[in-house]
Amino acid sequence: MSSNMIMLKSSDGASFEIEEAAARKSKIIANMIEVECVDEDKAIPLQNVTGNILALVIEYCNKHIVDDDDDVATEEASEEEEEAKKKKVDDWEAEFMNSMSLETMFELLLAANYLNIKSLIDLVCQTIANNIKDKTPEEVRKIFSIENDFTPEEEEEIRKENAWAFG
Amino acid sequence: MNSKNVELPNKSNVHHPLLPPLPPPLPLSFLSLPEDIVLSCLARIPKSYYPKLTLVSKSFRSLILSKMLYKVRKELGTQEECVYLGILSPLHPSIIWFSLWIKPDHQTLTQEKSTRNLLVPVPSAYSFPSPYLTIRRVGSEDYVFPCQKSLSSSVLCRGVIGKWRDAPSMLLARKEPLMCVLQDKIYVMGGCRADEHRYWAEVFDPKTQTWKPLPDPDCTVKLSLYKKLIPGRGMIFVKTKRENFVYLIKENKWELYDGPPLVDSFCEIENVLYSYGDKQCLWFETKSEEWRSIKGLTGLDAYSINDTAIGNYGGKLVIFWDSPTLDHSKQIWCAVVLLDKSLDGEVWGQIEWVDVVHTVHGSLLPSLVNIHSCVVENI
Repeated sequence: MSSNMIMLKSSDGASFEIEEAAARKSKIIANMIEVECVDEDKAIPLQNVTGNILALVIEYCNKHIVDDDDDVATEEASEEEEEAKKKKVDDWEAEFMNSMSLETMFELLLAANYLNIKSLIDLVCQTIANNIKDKTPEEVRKIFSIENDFTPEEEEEIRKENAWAFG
Repeated sequence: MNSKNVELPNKSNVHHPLLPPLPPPLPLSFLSLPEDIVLSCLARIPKSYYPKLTLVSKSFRSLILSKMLYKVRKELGTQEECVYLGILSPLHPSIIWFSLWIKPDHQTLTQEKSTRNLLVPVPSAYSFPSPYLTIRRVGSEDYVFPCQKSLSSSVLCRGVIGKWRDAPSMLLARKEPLMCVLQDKIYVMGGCRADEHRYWAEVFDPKTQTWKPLPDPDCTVKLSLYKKLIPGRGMIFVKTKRENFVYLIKENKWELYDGPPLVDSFCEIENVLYSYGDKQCLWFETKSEEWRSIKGLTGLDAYSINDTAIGNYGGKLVIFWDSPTLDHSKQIWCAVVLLDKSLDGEVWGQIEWVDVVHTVHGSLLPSLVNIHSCVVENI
């Protein structure tokens, strides 16, 4: 495992030191490392990510640093061990997502999208999807601050059209 | 752990040349996230929740009804199996499609008498696209006939990977024709006006890339609203409500068929062919080359059964049939059957649920409505 450290700098000027292996979770940063665009003494400025969000991104990357290297070791691990490990990661992810507000989630999603960290995008999108699915339209509007822009007539029409879904 | 947070003075940063350009200032509501992200969230929601979610707001609704959403579901691999049933009515110009709505968190019949599973119109927020019937594979090439919604003679073709290219057009423009592949040739029949004198049926040979007309069949075939093609050995059966006909490939001629009843509803589940006919669910035993009935499926024969259609619904058998009612309407029933290949070489079935899923209303002339086919697609 590489122990190279990389410096990242958030939009509000906070600097973070992160292991190269963790930073490579971001395709954008990995790409910069590949083309040797990263100067060891200089922090990579991330103008679109604030310090508190970047801290979350780094927390996530550090936690998942091992997955990729683990591929080699998988053959030896038994199915049970694999399952236990997966459960541990799942539990950590659930806890991680649980700890943040919806607004933070959106910011984290934008940051993950910006830095191109696929597994983090998947995690946040799935969490948002789970948050939406079994809610009533009214609840979804409330949770996500979405304005109901249907007229009562339009709403009635759609309800009628999909009456089978509301039974 | 590995990161340490060193506060630095907030100097204006220089944008790194390799980072993507900055998007506009941070939007923080769900719907103002970039559209691909919003779609990526919605695509992870099981489709049975969609109808209800169309009520959230106008933009929510248009995203749920967008073709893009189904593209994203495909990319993410969050597609779900959707069961479609097509019916025919003399009062309707084309196949009327429904999709089987299974209530979210559906539980098999407990105390409730009804499953409340229903056939709902297509398109809807539950299943936006219609099933795509007019694609056929011959060898390693797919042929697509864009004649599902309107009259067309064009044909497109492509290898397993590669771009679509134009294939030779049919001799006649058709809409929703009957099709089957037999001996590496594509047979296409009907879908044109009954008074078309030539080319009612034609055949495409991918080797020579040519279409050839077949002789014209009896008028009964051409005029019948309800027809089904059943490929056989060296022949193609055409089943109608009145008489059945057979096209003999080698002799290149049509004959009236008066042999044993034709079974017209088939599907394949884990390499076993299933069919439903004569109030019996059958499977094809390849060693003895015979149709055997599925064991343990009692109860289904109690229904008055007219037309049927069956399909492979995630390894289960989905069966539809229609049944007339006393008030001259028509009910469409559905049963989902769990299959189990036992050690004694038999196939056992267990009904997961059975229920009326649709009532055909008067405006479609229920007595003349027929089940066309059942299609299961991943969407």
